[in-house]
Amino acid sequence: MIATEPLKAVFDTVVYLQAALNPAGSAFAALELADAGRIRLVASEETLEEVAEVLSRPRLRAKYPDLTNERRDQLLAVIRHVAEVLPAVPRTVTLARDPDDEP
Amino acid sequence: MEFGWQDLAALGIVLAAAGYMARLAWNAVTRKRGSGCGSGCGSCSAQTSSQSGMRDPKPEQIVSIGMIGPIRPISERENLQHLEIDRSAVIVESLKKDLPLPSLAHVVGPLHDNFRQSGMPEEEVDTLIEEEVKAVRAERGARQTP
Repeated sequence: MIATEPLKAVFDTVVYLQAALNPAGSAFAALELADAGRIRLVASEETLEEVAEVLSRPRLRAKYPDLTNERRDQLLAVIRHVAEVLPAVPRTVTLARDPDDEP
Repeated sequence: MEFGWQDLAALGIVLAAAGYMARLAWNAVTRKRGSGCGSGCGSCSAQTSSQSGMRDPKPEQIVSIGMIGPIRPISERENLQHLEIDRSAVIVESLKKDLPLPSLAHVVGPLHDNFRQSGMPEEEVDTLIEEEVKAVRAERGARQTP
């Protein structure tokens, strides 16, 4: 039997938020897969900062009474524990062209 | 004036308390004479300090438990008081770091309960999330633009 590396995955901010706030959606199932080690989650500091900022918004706090700063911090701690967090991800990436594709 | 059983009981309690206080005071006085067994002979402290080669602790030194820093004389410690270190907050933060990480289910469980109790349809929470993400991104963009 061939051992395979778990699939690498990057979640958008919205996926983390949907996972936290909606138990029925596929986002929570995806985060559970990462938590169980079935997929290898990769995240950026910028995304996690954005998640934290959105989870601090008053409109969300009004709908979710248990969404406290402590719970927000715990969620981020869990994500940091599960994911490989990259400190600075470049906004643009340049890939060398294949010489065979050159005109 | 008659003494009833209640008066006698009260008197007995007062006498017992006075005896206890006197015993504590006596112990404090005898302990001051020397460390160790409390006999006051002074041989214990003399022996240990000469054997270990350590200096006897000076009365102006304090011993920290590792979070505030090295041992500092009281005079220096007084100079640091303007920093207003909240010791309880430091201890709480230190203990939090040592606590095991809660599980994902434990963290998001109450939030999922909030969602169920609110009766919101999934579309509504998705819209709410998207609007708030857009708002945060707009605010961040405005902060970064000079």
